[in-house]
Amino acid sequence: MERGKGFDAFGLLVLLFRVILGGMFVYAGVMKIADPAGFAQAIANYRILPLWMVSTAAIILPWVEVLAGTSLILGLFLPGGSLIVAGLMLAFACALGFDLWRGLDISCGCFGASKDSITWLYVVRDTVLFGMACIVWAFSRKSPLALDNGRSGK
Amino acid sequence: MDSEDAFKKRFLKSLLQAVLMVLAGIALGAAFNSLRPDRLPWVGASPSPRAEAAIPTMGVMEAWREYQKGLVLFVDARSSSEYEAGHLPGALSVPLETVEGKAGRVKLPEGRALVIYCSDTACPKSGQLATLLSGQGVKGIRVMPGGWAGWYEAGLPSEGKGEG
Repeated sequence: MERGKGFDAFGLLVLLFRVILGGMFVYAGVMKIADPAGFAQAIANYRILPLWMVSTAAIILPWVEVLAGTSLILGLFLPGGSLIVAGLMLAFACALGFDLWRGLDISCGCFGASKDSITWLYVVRDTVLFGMACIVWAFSRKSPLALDNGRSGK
Repeated sequence: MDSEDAFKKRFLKSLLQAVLMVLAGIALGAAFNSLRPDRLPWVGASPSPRAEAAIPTMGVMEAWREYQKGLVLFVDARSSSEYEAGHLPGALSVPLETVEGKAGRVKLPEGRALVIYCSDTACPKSGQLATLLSGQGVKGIRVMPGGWAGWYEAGLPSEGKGEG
C-alpha cells in the first residue's frame, strides 16, 4: 500500500464515509442472517416483491450487504462495493417512500426485525447514505487505507 | 478529470465487480442457508410460520352474515390511525403493539365470537394478536385473513373517517 496516498482532508472524508457505510452494512447483514424468517416477513410486509421472491431475497440480500460492507471497510474492490451500496440505498429509499406514500404501516426491517413503524425520516436517512455511497464511488481511487491501492492499477 | 470514455470504462469495471460480489453473495447465502436447521425454502410465499395456523379462520362473507346475526365482534389489530381511517362495523381497536407492550390482559366483551383482522392477506398482525389473546385464555377467537382489503373489495359497509 502506498503510504500517504489520499491523506488529505477529502480523502479522509471518503475514508470516514467508507467506515460508516461499511460498518452499517456489515451490521445490518449480520442481524438479518441471524433471523432469516424475521427478515423474510419484513420483506413480505413491504408488498413490493412478488411473494415467491421474498424467500430468495431473504437468503441472498444479507450476504450481499455483508460483502459490500466488507469491501468498503477494506477498500477492496471499492468501485463495485460502493456501487452496490449506492444501488441498495436508492432501492431501500424508493421502497420506503413508496410504502409511506401508499400509507402502509410497516416496520423497516433495516437492521433485522423491529417493531417501530417507518417514517419519512427513514427515507431522508437512506437518501443521505445514498449520497455518501455515490461520493465513495466517485472518489474510490483517491481513498487512503484501501487495499485496492496496493493492487496493480490498470 | 475523467473523459466520457474513461467514465464509461470505470462504470463497467464497477459493474463487473458488483456482479461478482452479488454472485458471491448468492453462493454464500445458498451455502449458509442449506447448512442451517431453520433454513428457508428458496421459493416461498410465507416463509415464517404463520401464527394463525392454529387459530380457526373465517371468510369475509361468512363474517358479514355472522355479524348481521349479532354473533361476532370484530377486532382490528392494525394501528389506531389505520383504524380511524376506516374499519369494520362496530369493530374494536386493539392495536397489536398495545397488547405486546402490556403485561396485563386486554378486556374484551364476552358472549360473541371475536373476529380478528388486519389490512389484508399478507399482514401478520391478525394472526399474532389471535395467538397472543388465546395465550391469555380468551375463547372464541377467529381470524379473518382477507382483512380490511377483502372487506372493502367485497363492498361491505364500514365505519370511519376515510372514504376507503
